[in-house]
Formats: sequence, C-alpha cells, structure tokens
Amino acid sequence: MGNMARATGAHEDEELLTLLYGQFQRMLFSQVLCLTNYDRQWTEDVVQETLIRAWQNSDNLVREPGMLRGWLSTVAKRIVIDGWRSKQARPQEVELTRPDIAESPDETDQTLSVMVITDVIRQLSDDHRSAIYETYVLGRTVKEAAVVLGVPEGTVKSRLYKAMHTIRRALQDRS
Amino acid sequence: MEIGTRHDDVAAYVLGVLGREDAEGFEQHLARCGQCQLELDEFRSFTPLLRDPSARAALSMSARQPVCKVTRSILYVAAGFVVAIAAVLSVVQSLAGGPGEPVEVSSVDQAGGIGYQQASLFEHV
Repeated sequence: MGNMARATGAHEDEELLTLLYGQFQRMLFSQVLCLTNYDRQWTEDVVQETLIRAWQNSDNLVREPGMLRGWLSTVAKRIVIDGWRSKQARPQEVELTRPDIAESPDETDQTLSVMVITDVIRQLSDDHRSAIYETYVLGRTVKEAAVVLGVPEGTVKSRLYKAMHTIRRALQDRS
Repeated sequence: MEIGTRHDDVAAYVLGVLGREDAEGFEQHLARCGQCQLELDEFRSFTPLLRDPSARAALSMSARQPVCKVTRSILYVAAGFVVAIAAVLSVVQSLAGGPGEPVEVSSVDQAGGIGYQQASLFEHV
C-alpha cells in the first residue's frame, strides 16, 4: 500500500516536472523578459526560482493547467518585484520602472475608470485610505506601515483587504 | 485562524506590499485556495488605477486629516470667542457711553488674551 502511494507520488512528481519544464518554462521566460527590461540573465534566474517554488509547493498546487499558469505568472511577477526592490536599494543601479503584480488595464477605459476609482477612494474611511497610502503609495511593506500607523500588522492587512473589497464592490455597482 | 489571516493577505499581496517571507507563505496558501485566486484576479484588475496621480492624491488625504479637522474646530471655537467678546465689548461701550471706563480696559485685555491663544494654535498647525 505504502509502496503504491509512493509510486503514485513519484509518477505525479514526474508529471509535474514535465508540465513545468515542458509547457511553462518558455511561457514564463517570455512573460518575465518584458518585466526585467529584457535582462536575460535576471529573467533566467526568476524563471528558475519560480519553477523551484512550484516544485516546493507541489503538494498544494492544483494541477489544472489554467490555474497552474495563473499561479506561476503571479509568483514570477512577485519575484521580479522583490528583485526590483533590492535593485532600488542599491543607488548606483539604473532606475527601473516597477512592474506591478496587476495587469495594465485597457488604455481607452482608463480615464473613466480613474475618475470612478478616485471618487470611490474619497468615500473610503480614513483608516482604509491611510492603509493603502502608507503601503502601496509610499512603497512601504505592511510591517513598516504597521510601525508608522502604530497598529499590528494584522490590522494593516485586514484594513487593506476591506479597502480593496469596498473599491471592488463600488466599481462593480457603477459598471 | 491561520486560514482567515491568509485570506486577508490577498490584498497586501496584490498591492505588492507583503514582505518576502509573508509573500511566500501566501503563495503556498494561494496554490490550493480557489477563493483567493478569484479575488486576486478581481483585485488586480483595478490595482494599476491606484497609481494614477489623481487616485494617489485622493489616497494621500488620509491619516493627517483627522488632526486637521480637530485643529480646525478648535480654531472655530476660538474665533467664536473673539467675536463674542467683541460683541460684548461693543455693547459695554455703547452702554458706558464713552472710553476710559475700567470695565472696558479689562475686557480689552481678555480679548487680547484670546487673540494670543489663537495665534499659538496656528503655530501648531
């Protein structure tokens, strides 16, 4: 029984490896290349790290290709942002445009959406607004912002969550 | 407890403001949480808009504002006092019928005192 479970596990592992390196490595490379200012070495490192993280999470990872693709590109972007942060910390490096985990929205809709979102932001509570301001706008991590705001990290996280939830709902109501 | 906390992390994660360790922990959760994957997609559809200058400006009217509101209301009260004293003064003046009365001098001092208080409030702003 134990042997069979191990054999099945090994088979799944092999499948995952084939999927990761066969199907997703190239896709990730071209996605990440755009985010790293076409730095091929950096891109290669990010792709490798992403695939290693997928491998480490293989017990949890949903194998459905769509979900897997989404997870991989999300993680790859986060790793680029981490890299971007440490590059920014070294002043001699060339300044880079920070990539976002988020996708860029359609240009044509952007002006209208900005007006709507600005209106929604004004209606947020001060706590929720300042949570986004002290983290996202000022480029601080949750931990750093918690110190500035004098509240626990968990509070900053849940304020951010409630704020984003409110914005999303308001945007849905208006569209 | 752990699950609730992780669900909340999705917003901080989309905004890119979780530290590296927290982000890796969240990714572990994200791998098996369909709800977070859905919310992640929804949140990131509008996150870039928060970078727009007018959205940033709206976000910046945050933590500092309540202090301003309080200070402003104190100033209103102080200004109200000054107006009230001035009104009392003019009534006293018209009743007394002329300058030089001792009552009026003390009232002027009082009014001056409130005036100074207001000036020091402005310095704190």
